[in-house]
Amino acid sequence: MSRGKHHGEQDFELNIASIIDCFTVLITYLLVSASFISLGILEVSIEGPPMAQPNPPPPEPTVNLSVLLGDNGSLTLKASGKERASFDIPAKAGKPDFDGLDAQLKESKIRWPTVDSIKLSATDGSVYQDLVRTVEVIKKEIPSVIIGDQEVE
Amino acid sequence: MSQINSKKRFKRRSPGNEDMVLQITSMADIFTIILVFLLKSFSTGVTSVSPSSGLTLPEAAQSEEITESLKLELSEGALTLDDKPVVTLKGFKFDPSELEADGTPRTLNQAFYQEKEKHKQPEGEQTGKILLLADHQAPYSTVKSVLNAAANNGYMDLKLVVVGDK
Repeated sequence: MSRGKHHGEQDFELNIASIIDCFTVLITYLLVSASFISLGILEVSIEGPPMAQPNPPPPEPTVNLSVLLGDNGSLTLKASGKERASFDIPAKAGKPDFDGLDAQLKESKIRWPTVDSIKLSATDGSVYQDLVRTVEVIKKEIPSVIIGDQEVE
Repeated sequence: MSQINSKKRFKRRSPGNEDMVLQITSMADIFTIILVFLLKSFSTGVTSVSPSSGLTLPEAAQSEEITESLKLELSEGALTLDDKPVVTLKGFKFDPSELEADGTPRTLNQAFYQEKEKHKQPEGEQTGKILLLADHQAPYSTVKSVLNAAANNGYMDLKLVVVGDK
């Protein structure tokens, strides 16, 4: 007979050991499947091979913008089509000057507001990290980026 | 007398009950907190995108959320498509015998073709999408070969997987 307890009261003891077992299994599973790095994506298009189009092609934009990433980190922004222009952005301390590119793209966007896509190309020695950074900078101003070959002048 | 006192001072204590009682209640509290945290960060759906060892993704501050697409992984020693090894590389370079006239790897072209046949779409339908996980040091020449192979096989939309740079 329990001391000091009223007749009819039911003691209920929680079996914590079983709960700990469940928690251990759940935590182990979640730790294995957890991802501790945040991954994201940058959407771009690839310039494909020319093929017969069943529908008439869309009208050409007034100006075509393209960016070339060089081996030494230099960037060149070119405008072609109805207006022609070329802006060289030299590298800073051996690295591409992304701030300079951003400023130049902002000016281009003001000058040619109808441009909504840009072609990006790079020389063979460029590094993928620089290409990704360039895409990131371009996407701040121009949403559509098409990766293709260098234009032959 | 002093000897008796010192003996009393250094008298051995009788060994008491040394059973250690595990504080299960505290452990349950800790486990609950850890579990809530892990459940909060657990997400169903695209959890299969994880870079393999030896592959360091490039960093980018602004990016969008990952959606399911065909996964193409480019590391220093190998190129894998949908977690299946396709081509072996040496220092990010293809074996010259592997390359076709247009500079695209032959085996990769075959792998893309097989994927396209597996998920055959009606004529004129939107082309497939690729999730590219490439090492941040990969040279553009190799990336270009891979992209050209994808474009030749109708994969025109590309998603570059990056690590958040905050």
